[in-house]
Amino acid sequence: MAITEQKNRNSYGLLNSLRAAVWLEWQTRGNWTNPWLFTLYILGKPISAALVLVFMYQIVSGGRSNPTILGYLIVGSATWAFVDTVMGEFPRTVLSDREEYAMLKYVYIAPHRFITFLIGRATPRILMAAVAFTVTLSIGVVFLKIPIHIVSVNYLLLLVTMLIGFVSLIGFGVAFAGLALVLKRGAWDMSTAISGALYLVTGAIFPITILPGFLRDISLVIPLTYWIELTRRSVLGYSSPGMPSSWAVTLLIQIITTILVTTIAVIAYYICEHFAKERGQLDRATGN
Amino acid sequence: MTAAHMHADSPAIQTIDVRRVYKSRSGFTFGGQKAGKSVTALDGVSLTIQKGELFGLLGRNGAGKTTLIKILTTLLAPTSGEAYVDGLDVNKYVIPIRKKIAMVSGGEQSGYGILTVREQLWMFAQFYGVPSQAAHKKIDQLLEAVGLGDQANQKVYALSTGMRQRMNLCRALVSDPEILFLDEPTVGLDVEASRIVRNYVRSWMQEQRGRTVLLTTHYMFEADELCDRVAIINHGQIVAQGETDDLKKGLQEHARFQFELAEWAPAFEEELKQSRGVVSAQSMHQKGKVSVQIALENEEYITSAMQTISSAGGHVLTLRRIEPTLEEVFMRLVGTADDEKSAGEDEEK
Amino acid sequence: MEPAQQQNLKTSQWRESLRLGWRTLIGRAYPRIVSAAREPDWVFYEVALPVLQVIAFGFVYKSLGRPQYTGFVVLGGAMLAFWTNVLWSMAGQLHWERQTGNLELYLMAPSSMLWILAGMAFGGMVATLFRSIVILLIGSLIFGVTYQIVSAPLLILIFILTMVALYGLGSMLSSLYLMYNREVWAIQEVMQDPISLITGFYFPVRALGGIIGGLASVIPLTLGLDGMRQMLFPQLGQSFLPPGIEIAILGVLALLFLVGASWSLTYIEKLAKIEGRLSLKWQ
Repeated sequence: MAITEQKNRNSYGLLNSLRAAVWLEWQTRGNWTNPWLFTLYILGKPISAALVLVFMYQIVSGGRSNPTILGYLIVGSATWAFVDTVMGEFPRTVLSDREEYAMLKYVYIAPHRFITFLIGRATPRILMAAVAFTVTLSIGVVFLKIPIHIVSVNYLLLLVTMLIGFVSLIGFGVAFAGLALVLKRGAWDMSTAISGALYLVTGAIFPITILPGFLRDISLVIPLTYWIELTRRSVLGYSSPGMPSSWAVTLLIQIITTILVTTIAVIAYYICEHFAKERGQLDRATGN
Repeated sequence: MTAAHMHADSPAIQTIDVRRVYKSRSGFTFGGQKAGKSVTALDGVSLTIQKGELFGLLGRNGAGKTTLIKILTTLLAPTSGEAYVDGLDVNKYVIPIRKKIAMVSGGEQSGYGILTVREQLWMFAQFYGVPSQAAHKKIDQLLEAVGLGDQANQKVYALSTGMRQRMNLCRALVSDPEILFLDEPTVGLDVEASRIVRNYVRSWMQEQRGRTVLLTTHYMFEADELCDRVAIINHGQIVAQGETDDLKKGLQEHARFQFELAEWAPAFEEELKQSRGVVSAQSMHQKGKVSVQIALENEEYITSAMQTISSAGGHVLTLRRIEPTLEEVFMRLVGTADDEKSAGEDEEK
Repeated sequence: MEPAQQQNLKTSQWRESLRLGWRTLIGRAYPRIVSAAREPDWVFYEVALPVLQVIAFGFVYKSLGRPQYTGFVVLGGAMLAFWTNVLWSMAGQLHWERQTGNLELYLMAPSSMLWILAGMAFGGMVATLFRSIVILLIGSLIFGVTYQIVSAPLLILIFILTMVALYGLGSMLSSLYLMYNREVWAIQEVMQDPISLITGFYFPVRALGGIIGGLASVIPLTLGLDGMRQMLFPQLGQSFLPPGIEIAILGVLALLFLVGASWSLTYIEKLAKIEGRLSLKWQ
């Protein structure tokens, strides 16, 4: 009886912690301005990122349009909105709670797993990224005539790869939150910088076949590569150079690499946490 | 008014009917703006602090102490009224005032964790135009004086709260200000660190004539120990000001004494109550001793009260006057002010 | 007082104020410069990883069959370091200083806040220049970028004017941001990518067309980058305006932003004092 009660309390505590974290995220980073500016905040970054690629292509093509190439660029860039928006939120939560709100130590000593709290804080960002993803694709379809046909999209594959993709994102995010624990305030830039590094090796905006051999090898063990590829395949219907031709094989590799990366990420987080505690960095405010 | 204030005899600080109202910002919606609220932090504050005084401003959280300090340190504009620092209008002579003042707040986390204590102090000395060599000399002196001599090359983030606050005090003094604002400077500090801060403030005042300190604090004993004069602020209004002894005396309606007797007889109390000038008498039996508290119309009646006890066969072992503490003064005044306010509000309703 | 004496007094006051300003500038620049040496973890996330981002965009040009355009990306990436520095460590800095309690101490000092901002800009520029050079070197090595310098003095002039105008803009924004609370960080985020788009970090701004390119020229990096590209990659063409006109506009922008920074600082300080926002934390 007592054990059952304890179990109930634990699961209730977990849900409570998640819910409170989601609510807090909305209060601190969502509910801060008028809805118009907030809309711009959600959409400005992903749309700009996609348009940078469109203009780069225009410069190269001399203004001629190729919907297949543009489709490749825009779907990759739109999917990247999830990575950019969600993954960066983990280290940002650590840094803002430590440096700006000075709340990290109090949240940390609460009787929940800190990782649960971090996941809760990142959850609203998934919703925001989903809006950005949809709007970016819609702009691509309406203005750039990229070849997406609503009836021929493989929605089931899209849903499955997205869900697994979120798990890998959380894995990366947790590891970077661990890094933020041991880094100083300047680590605000870390999420942007890491995102840039992953941008290079995940085939988000160019086929991985263009990469030098060792970078191509790295890209093959990153689950995000398969997530972006499967998203492209489910939306556009064609595969990228250097990827398995079967969607099922690609999905299987996505699952395996997600499990591997997430496990390593959680271990990395705990190692960082250990160092942060050892060096007394959990409540250390820095700045220059 | 301004011209009249700009001479050597002008008070260190003067405020005349200063009011400050904060207006909270409104929020946004798709449909437009929500209305904001306003809060009166200071409501007609008039104070005069002479040069060379260590003046205490006492009040609860939110009473208006910090707001007044912000106005005097040129960080905040008064909504109405006048405020002068060394005779200079805080609205007009911002830079000349800033050359004369410094401030330390309790619980300060200012500065850069990555710098050493010496570098941090040097940086602030530069903002006041102190040449580097002179700054380093002064920094050495100050750090020694507050017991941080061996921490000069320690990074700021590695300092304890007490050390950090002592460093903040050095930061304020490195520019050699004439008027120092201390806003709850010992809040959160341990006994030793608090004592170091208090002792140094006192010795800094004594080093040179004319130095002035405005101290806000929650700790009544601190104000009692340090201040020449105090003011009590409540709901943005000064409810009392003067020397601490005068305030205490003002609180006492009757002179109160306590004495211990070797033995007790019930008749003593009756005799005392009938004695001339005695307002009340109350005996207490504790740990085999008898102590009696009496209230007299005037302190001169203590002689006749003692004679009454002797005549009745009592033997007085000890006698002391009961002084009210500053805390009692504070509680009485702030409590009264609140009672009056709530009574007023009731009447309005 | 004799007119000559008055003149002497004015001169000595002016000198004293200049000395105080200079000391303030050096004092505020100091933590920025020493922090780079003391906590070298910035090498990881402010140099190594941005380099990877530059490489990613370089590969886009390669994959599209135009490897010669990678020089645009490398130069853009190097200049992006300054934009990031201006955005986060200039524009957002006073807001941050208010949160930590430094702002009120700065304001209470007799030196003008403009000198504090100048110190922040100088320290930030020195630290970022190093980062930027490293990004430029690594990017150039990886993609084998070749530079044909048209005119070194003009190149340096464009760079300096861009920096003055850019940090002037940062100073102006920093005081304007004092009127905002936590939304500052979100506004910064909102600005970062759209501005990367319109200033043409990764492609010549000409691609945006005359109207958008013209509007984007308000941000000094747009013309600064275009001018520098013209000085370094004359063979690629794709210029937006002739260098002479770009230099003139950059000069005007530098002046405007410096005057604007001074004006906005005075205005916002006054307004913030009235509204009580110089030291109030919003929590």
